[in-house]
Amino acid sequence: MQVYKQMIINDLKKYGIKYIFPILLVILLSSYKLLYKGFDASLLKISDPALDIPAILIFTMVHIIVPLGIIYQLRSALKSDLFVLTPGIRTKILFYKGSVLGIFIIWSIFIARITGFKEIIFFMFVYSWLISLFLIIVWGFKYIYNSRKYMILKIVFQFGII
Amino acid sequence: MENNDIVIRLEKVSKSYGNKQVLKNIDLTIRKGTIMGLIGKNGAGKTTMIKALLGLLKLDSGKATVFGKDSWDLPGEVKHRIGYVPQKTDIFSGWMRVKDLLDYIGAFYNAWNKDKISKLIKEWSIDPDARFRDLSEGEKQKVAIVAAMGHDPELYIFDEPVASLDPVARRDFIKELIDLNLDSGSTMLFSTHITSDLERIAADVALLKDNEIKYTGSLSDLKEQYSEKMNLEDIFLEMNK
Repeated sequence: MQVYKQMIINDLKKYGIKYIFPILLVILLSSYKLLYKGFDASLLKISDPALDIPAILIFTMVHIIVPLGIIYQLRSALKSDLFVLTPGIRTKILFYKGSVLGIFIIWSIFIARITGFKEIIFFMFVYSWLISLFLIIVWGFKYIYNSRKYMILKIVFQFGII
Repeated sequence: MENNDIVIRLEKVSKSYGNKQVLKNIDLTIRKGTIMGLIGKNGAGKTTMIKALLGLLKLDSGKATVFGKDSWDLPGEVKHRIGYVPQKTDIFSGWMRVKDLLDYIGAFYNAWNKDKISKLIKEWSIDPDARFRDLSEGEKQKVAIVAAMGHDPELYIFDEPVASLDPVARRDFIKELIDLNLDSGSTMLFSTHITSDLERIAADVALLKDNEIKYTGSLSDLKEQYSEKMNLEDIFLEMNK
């Protein structure tokens, strides 16, 4: 737990101010969905184009900003030789950032009102693939792990996600 | 000698960058408790060799193992036993304060020795509240060395660790290494241009020249091959003629 506590503290110290923008957008969209569209409605369903279309655009924008930001942070956290040699750091950073992304995905599922097991799995798969694409854009074709033990995932999610 | 005494083994290791061959069929064995100095001219391949043996570079051919494990896929338990000081210190997050940086690195190790860290920081006059980016090159190097020592590793790998240190800091650093070796029998691989430092600390040397190891063995044997009056720098210059 000490490691994760330290990671959260480091994150807040390093990126604190930069988190405000996406958090504000998330609060704005959540408020719009809950207070205007209603709990059971999907944010992506257009009933009032003047308001719903900008909301969908903001929703899309948040889905680009957040994963790209997380991947950028991963890159800066993992690229150094020293950290490659620090035991467990990659697993822990990936778990930590993955958890943040997981919370974000749960929020997306809630706000887009994706229901049904198959739909959620499909959404998760497409989203993981999209993140893998972002990872290539930010990172190139470099693997985070040298090991081949996650080769199947490396192939499924194209290149370099783990 | 027993095979389980071997800490580092390179077998027929070759590495090229594009068309330029940097390492050619390198064989090297370092046994437990050895202090080995690695010397060679600029571009001789010292850093590449260190990175290759730590699995930070993919080899073109050959095999590198540390504590018997393949370097390219070092397990966590082996990483716990290694302390590494890279040549470049800009790998640390510059915005972090020294104490936060050391706490962060320490959080990944089970055996992080906070008392030792505090002692070294005090002895080496490092400001724990300074941001890493604001330190001089020498101070950054000191922090990197302290970070590598914090978990009391069995194997230390130093890539030009004293390049930016002043003579006093170099003396303190070398004293620390000698103490470590005497107290805990740590194994050390130490690359440097400063041959006088090697003479003070290293029992064995490996000389890299023309992408190959031209000599590996004890420093005293090397001196015997030349003249007793020659120091390592003279021998180094002679061998590089």
